[in-house]
Amino acid sequence: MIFEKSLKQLLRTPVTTALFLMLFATSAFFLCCGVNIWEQNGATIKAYEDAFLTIGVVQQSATAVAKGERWNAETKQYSIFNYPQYSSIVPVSALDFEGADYLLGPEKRPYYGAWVQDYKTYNSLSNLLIAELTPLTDCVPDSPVKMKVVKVLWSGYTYNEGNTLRLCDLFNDNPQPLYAGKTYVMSLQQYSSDEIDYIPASGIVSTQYRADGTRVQADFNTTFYQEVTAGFYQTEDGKRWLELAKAQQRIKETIPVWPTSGTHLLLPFYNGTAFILEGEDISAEEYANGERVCLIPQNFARDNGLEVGNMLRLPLYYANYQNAPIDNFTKSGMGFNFSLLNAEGKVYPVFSDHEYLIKGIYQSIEGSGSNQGMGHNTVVIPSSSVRESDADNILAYGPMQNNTTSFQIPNGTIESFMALWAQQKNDQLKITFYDRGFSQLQRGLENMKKMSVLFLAVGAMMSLTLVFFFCHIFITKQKMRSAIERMLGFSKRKSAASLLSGFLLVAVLAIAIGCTAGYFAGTRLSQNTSMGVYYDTDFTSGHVADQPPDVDEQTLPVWYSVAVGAILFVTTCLVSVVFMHGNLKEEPLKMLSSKKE
Amino acid sequence: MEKIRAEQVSYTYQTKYQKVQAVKNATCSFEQGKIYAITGESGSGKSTLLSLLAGLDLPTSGEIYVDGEPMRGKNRDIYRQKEASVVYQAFHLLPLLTVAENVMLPMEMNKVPRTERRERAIQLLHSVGLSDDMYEKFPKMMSGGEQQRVAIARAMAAGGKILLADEPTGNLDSKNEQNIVDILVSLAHEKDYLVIVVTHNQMVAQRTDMVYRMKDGVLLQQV
Repeated sequence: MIFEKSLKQLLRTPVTTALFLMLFATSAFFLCCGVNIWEQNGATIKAYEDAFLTIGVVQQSATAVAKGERWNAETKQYSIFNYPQYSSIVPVSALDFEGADYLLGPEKRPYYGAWVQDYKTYNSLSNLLIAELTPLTDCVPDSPVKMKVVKVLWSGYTYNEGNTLRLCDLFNDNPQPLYAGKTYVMSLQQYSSDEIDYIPASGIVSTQYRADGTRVQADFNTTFYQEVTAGFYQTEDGKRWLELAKAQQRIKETIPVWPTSGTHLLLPFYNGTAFILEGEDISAEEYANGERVCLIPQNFARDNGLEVGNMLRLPLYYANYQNAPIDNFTKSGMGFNFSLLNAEGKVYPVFSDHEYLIKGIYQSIEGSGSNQGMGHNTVVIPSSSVRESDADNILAYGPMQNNTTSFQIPNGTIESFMALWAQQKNDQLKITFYDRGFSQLQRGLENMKKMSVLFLAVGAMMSLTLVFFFCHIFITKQKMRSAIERMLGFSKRKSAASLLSGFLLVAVLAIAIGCTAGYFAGTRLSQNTSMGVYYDTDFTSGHVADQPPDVDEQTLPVWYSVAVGAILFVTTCLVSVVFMHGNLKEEPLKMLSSKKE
Repeated sequence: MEKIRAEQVSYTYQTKYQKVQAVKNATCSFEQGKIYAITGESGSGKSTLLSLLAGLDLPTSGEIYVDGEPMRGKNRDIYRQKEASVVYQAFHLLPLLTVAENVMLPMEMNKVPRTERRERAIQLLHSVGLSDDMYEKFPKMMSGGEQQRVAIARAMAAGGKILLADEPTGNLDSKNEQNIVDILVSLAHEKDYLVIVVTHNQMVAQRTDMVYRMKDGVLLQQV
C-alpha cells in the first residue's frame, strides 16, 4: 500500500520522474560502459602481452672508418677499401644497468663448430687447395705463372697430381720469386678469371683469442707458401701445414651450433623466417635447466635420416665470438675470416662432446644477401647446456652484432628502457627493437584505456551528482509530506518507506536500463577499437608472418555490469537514507504549525 | 467525561540563540462531546500546547493523560493514527493525492478493507458538505474552505474521537469560516467528538463550550 502510494505520487510528477529515469540511466550507462571498456582493455592488453614478444638487438658502432689500399695485379692499380675500426670491444655487461628490466638478459652468442664426421654436411669448399707445387720456370707471380701440382695435401675436389695451373699473387705488390726445380707447399684459392686459376689463400696463421677478447700471439706466421725441403714435414713448420690440411677436412665435416637462451632471441625465428616444422620448440624450462636438446634444420635432418626424438652427437671444437653462423656457413659456400689453427699451430681440440636429443626440426627461409638467416646446417641448443669452458677454443672475437646479441624486455617498455639507456651515455652501442607492432597496438589500447577512464569519471560524477540532486528533489523538498504523514500516524520507518520506495524503484529501473545498454555498448566499442588497432605489420622491420598473433577474442563478463549496477544502487540507497534521515530529524510540530504551505 | 488532562505541562525548545519556554506549567482537562477553544496572541504557546495534546511531541515536564493513561507510555504514532487527528490552518493535504485518496489515507493506515474505503470517504466528504465532482480533484484545484473541509473529513476518517484544530479558519473568508465552525460544533455536540480549537478569532471562540486563554505560555481558564 505504501509502495503503491509512493509510486503513484511519483508518477504524478511525470516530467521530473522521466528526467530522473533518463539522466540516471545515462549516468549508469557511462559508468558501466567505462568499467566494461576498462576491464576489456585490461584483458586485451594481457592477451596481447602474452602473444607478443619484444626483443632488442645490439650492434656496436665503429668508432672510425679506416681506409686501406690493396694492389691488384690484373689492373696494375691500388684499390681503396674501407673498414671499420673499434677503439675497444664493448662488453655485454655494458647492458647491465640499473633499472633495466629484462625478461631474458642480454646475451652475446658465440656459435660453435661441431665436428660431425659421421654425418653428411654438403659443405661447399671446392675452391680451396693445399698442395705442393713447382713453377715450370723461375718466375715472380706478379702475373699468372704456370705451376705444376706435385702433391695434393688437401683439395675440395679431386685434383690430379701432375696437372698445371696458373697462379698469380694477385693482391701482393711485392711478390717474392719462385724458382723452377724447387717445390713449395701452398694454400690456394680458386679464382674466376680467363688468365688466373688460383690466387693465394691464408697461410699458416692463428686467430686465437682469450675469453676476455685479447689475441693470443702465435710464434709463427707464414705467407701462403713455404719451400718444401727434405724432412720438411717433420719440422714444426711442416707439421703446421699438415694441420692446416687436416683443418680444411675438419671444416668440411663441421656444422655450426648456435647456443641461445630462447629460440625467439634468434632473429630468424623471431621474424618467422625460421619455424618449427616437426616436433616442438625447446621449452623455457629446458633452456633454463640447460637440457641437452636441440633443433636441427630440415635439410640436415633429411640428408642424414634424422628424426625428432633421435640423438645427435655434437663434438664442439671451436667458438666464434665474432660471427653468426650465416656469416660463415651458407648453402652456396663457406667464408672464413679466421684460422682453424690455434696458437700452437694445431687444429682446435674438441672441448665438449655430448649427445643432444632432437626436439624439433625447423625450416629456414634464407633471404639472399641477408645476414639474418640461420646459416647452413645450424643446430640450435640451450646456451646453458654447454657446461665446459670454451676459453681455449675461441678462434674469432668481435664486437656485438645484430645477429649475435639480443635480449628480451616486457612488452610496452621500449620507451622506458631507452630512457634509462640514454642515461648510460653509451653511444657505441646501437639498440634496435622488434615488437611485432606491439607499441603501435599499445597506443591504441592506451587510448581505449583513457576513453574508459573518461567514461568512468563522467559516469561516476554524473551518477553522484544526480543522486544528490534527485534526492534533494524527491526527499528534501518533500519534508512537508513527511511531516503530514507523521501527523497522520505514519511511523518514521513508514514515512521513509513512503518516500523512498518509489524513488528507489525508478532508480533501479534506470540502473538496469543504463547498465544493460552500457554492457552492450562497452562490448561493441571495445571490439571495434581493438579491431582497429589489431595489428600493424608495417611497424615491424623483419619479414613477419602475415597472420597476426593468435589472440582470443575477449568477451565481457556480465557480472561487471551487475556489480556496477549494484554499487550504484547501494550508493543511491545510502545517500537517500541520509537525506531521509535529515527529513525525519525535522520537528513535524514546527513544520505543521507554520502558517504557510 | 474527562478525555484528556494536562498536568503542569511545560515545553521548552532551543532556538539558534536562546532557550524558549513556550508552555509553562499548563494544567487543563477536556471532556468528550465538547468543543474547546484555546486563544491567545501569536507566540503565546497555544499551537505548541495543541501539538503536545496531539502527541507530536512530549512535554519537557509535566504529563498529558489520555483516558487516564500518560502520553509518555503510549505509542504516539498509533495515538495519532487511531485516536487523535489534527487539522491545521494550512490544511496540509498531500498535493499529489486526490481528495478521495487523501481521505482514504488514514483508513489505509488503519487497515480498513479496500472495498469499504471509497464508500466511507464519500460519506465523510458528503458530511462536510463536498459534492461528488470534487472527489477526484487535486487539493490545489480547490478553494481554501473546500480544502479545509477535506482536511476535516480526513481527520474523521481515522476513526478517532479527538479532533484538534490549529487555526482552522485562519485562511478562510467569513462565510467559509462560519461553515467550518458549524461542522466542528456539530462534530462535538452531535457526533460526540472532543474538539479542541486553537484560534485567535473571538467569533470562533464564542461558539465553543469552554475557552482557555494563553499568555506568554501560561494557560488561563475562561468560561
